[in-house]
Amino acid sequence: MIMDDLHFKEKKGAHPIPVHTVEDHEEPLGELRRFEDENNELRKELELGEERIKLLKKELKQANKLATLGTMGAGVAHELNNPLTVISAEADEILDSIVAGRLSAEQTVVSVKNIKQCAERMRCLIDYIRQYIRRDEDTSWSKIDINVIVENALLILKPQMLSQGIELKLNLSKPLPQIWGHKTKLGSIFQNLLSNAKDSFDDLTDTRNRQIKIETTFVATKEIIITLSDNGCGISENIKEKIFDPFFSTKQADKGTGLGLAMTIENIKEHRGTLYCDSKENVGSKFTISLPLERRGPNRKH
Amino acid sequence: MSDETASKNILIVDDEEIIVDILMRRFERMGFSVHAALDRITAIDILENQQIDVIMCDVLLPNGTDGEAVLHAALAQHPESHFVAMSGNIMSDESVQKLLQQGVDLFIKKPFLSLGEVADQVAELVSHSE
Ligand SMILES: Nc1ncnc2c1ncn2[C@@H]1O[C@H](COP(=O)(O)OP(=O)(O)O)[C@@H](O)[C@H]1O
Ligand SMILES: [Mg+2]
Repeated sequence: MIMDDLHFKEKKGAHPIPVHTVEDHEEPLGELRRFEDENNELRKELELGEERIKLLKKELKQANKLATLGTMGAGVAHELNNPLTVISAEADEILDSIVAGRLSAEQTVVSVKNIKQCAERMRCLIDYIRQYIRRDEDTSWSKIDINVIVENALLILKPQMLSQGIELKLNLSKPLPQIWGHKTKLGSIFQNLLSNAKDSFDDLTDTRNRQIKIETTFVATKEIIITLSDNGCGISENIKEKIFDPFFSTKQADKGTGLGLAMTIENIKEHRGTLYCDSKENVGSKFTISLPLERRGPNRKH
Repeated sequence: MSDETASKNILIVDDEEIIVDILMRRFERMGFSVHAALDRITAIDILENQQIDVIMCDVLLPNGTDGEAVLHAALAQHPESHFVAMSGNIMSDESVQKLLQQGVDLFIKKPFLSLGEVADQVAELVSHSE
């Protein structure tokens, strides 16, 4: 059989290499090729995986934004309704005075000024929301005053805090040197951390004086430090390590998505900053953010 | 102006100064004696020290405690008085119903459909107490 085979192949003369030589080398060469193929496949899979991670990260951001927007909804309605009430009521005042024939220039000026002021307030709020929803790619990096970012985040959160009996203590050092940053991303850091601080009082039954403190300071030439503290429920030791994990939440489904801190850490890293959490169960939590001043582009590697 | 509202005392409570200001102007013109408070503590203080016939109070968020505290103080100090709750929040029918059960006489949504109508409704409420 073997002989026949050899004979046949030799006779065909198609292969200049003797049959036995081919058989000798077939094993290692084939293995090498197989190894290369496998290697290529793995590389492709890795690339695909990286692509998928990028996509997931993007989806994570979008999901968190939408979730925050959902919880923002009630606050937004309240914040828009108040100036709208003024605008509509002042317009009624002017109309009624005309009808009653007692229109006074002085009073009309007051009314119109109030209308203008409230329209401006609504414009600011809508601007803020628009920026918040907008896809990240649309807003670019620029020089930013952190105090302004904090104040913007409070536009919606402050009224909610006050109505829930939470005292807000602001200690913003002014003027702060501007940092190089991304407005939307910085905004969402404070939106998330302050929402968490606000939520930390939700299940408390005692009558403690509920407080949230925000402090900004400038550490000469180097960095800006922002601390956000609450005297709410605090974080117990056994979950401290998990709070930054995506989807980790101790809240009910309609309140928490568990994406807030995961996103926050991402955003802070992109600004080359650090986040430090100090918390004691039932006493409160303090989040310390440090953002460097040096002007460099966004940190893409993290 | 009208006999019914003349010399009646109204207390306006809202954390929005301009809204307080607008309501004050309107009710003063109608002959009310107007008291105003921007927060619950001032409101409760006024309730404890003044004769008040009608309270117009922003109840803030549905789960907020401010409006409720003022309502309780009003019920305790002036059981005869009328309580008008205002809110710019999205409130469910249930929470409005709950307010009415707790002793609120009238619920007004912000923004007002018409300031004149709001004023008329409040005036009517007061005139019924005669
Ligand atoms: N200021 C805080 N006080 C108490 N617990 C906190 C605070 N911030 C975060 N946490 C805890 O960390 C968890 C994760 O937070 P986060 O990622 O923002 O998700 P979510 O707020 O949607 O639950 C929260 O569910 C909560 O248990
Ligand atoms: Mg959160």
